[in-house]
Amino acid sequence: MFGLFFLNAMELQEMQDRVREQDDREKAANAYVMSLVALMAGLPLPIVNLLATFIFFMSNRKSSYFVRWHCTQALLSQFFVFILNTISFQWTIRIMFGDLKFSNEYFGYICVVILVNISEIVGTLISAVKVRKGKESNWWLFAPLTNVLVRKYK
Amino acid sequence: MKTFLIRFTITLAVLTGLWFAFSRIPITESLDHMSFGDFNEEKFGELAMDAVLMESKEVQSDSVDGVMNRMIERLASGNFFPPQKFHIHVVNNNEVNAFALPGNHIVVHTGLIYMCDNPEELVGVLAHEIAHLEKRHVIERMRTEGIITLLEGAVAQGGGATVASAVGELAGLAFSRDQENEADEVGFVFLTNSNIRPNGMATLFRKMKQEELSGFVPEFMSTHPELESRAVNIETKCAGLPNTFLPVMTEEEWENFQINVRLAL
Repeated sequence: MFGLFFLNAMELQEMQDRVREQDDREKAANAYVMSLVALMAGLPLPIVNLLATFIFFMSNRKSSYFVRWHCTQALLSQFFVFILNTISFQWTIRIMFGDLKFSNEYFGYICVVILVNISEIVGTLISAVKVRKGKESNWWLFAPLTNVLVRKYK
Repeated sequence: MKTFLIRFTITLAVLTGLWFAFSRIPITESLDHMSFGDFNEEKFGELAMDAVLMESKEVQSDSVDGVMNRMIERLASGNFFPPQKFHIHVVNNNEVNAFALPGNHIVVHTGLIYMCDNPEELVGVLAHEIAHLEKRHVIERMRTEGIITLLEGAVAQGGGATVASAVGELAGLAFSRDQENEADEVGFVFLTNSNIRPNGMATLFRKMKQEELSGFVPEFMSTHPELESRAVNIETKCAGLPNTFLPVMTEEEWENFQINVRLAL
């Protein structure tokens, strides 16, 4: 009868693994959610979302491979968007207060940046949901580099 | 790592392609059109020219027009604009001035023609003004100076004189230092593309500088960046060019042109 309340060592281990796995999934998913929330909060200053993702990455650098891998992928994607957004931010400031004028090239660049940001947001959402379910989410552009970088840290 | 580099290159190529494609959308032209409201650039240019001609009489001479058109044709020969695109008006005014107006009108004062010692100097000014038009500095400046709004208000009031006064602002329109430098740069390219010696720009700037020192500041140059540095810029660029330029016209033709300008008044 008491066997119903007390787990044997193997069952305990399984349960702990399951909890750890669940914990890892949440952490990995949070890496994407963090970048998304910071992206909303950080606009129009593009550095905010990169910083938030970087802090999250640093705090999880000793976590499991799964968590580190997704934190790194999220960080890389944020870095990529950060570069594009920084250029558009500076360009806009120079048009508003500096020596540059509104041009077709500027308009074209802003269109590209908007497209990339939308793709980034959609991709981040999809990844957060997939990773939360324990599925893999490899980004076409960043997964190969993530594989290289995360192996190095191992 | 190789996979990443390949994919990164593909991504960059796609993004650059998209940038190029989006840049082809003529958004600034559409904005210009919106700024003008019921006006189009040509209509605005005509109004501006009417206002200018109320102040100064246009020189009516086929020989003078012929020479000015020859200069424009020469400039167009090495560049991508058709010569008919620009309308040159020589007006009787002793003030040393030349300016561009919307609708591709270029007004040249007789005072400027008298100051030029050779056709290269005058063509240099034309190239500079064409550069302002090609780079849409005139429209840009009108927008920032609020002249378009002024004109719309004047038209709404229905007063011809008010319209003329609003348009009159255009003649004294000051370009920014960057726009002037850009017009110099682009004008220089126009000249060299057409195989015209660009030194004329520099010699005219120096002459202007002398006038400035003697207390007479030509109106259209007073707002320009420092004449000395502009002259030096042009001369530095000229130093690296091969000496294969062809004259715009003979000395005799130039002298006849200046005489004809005087006779036509």
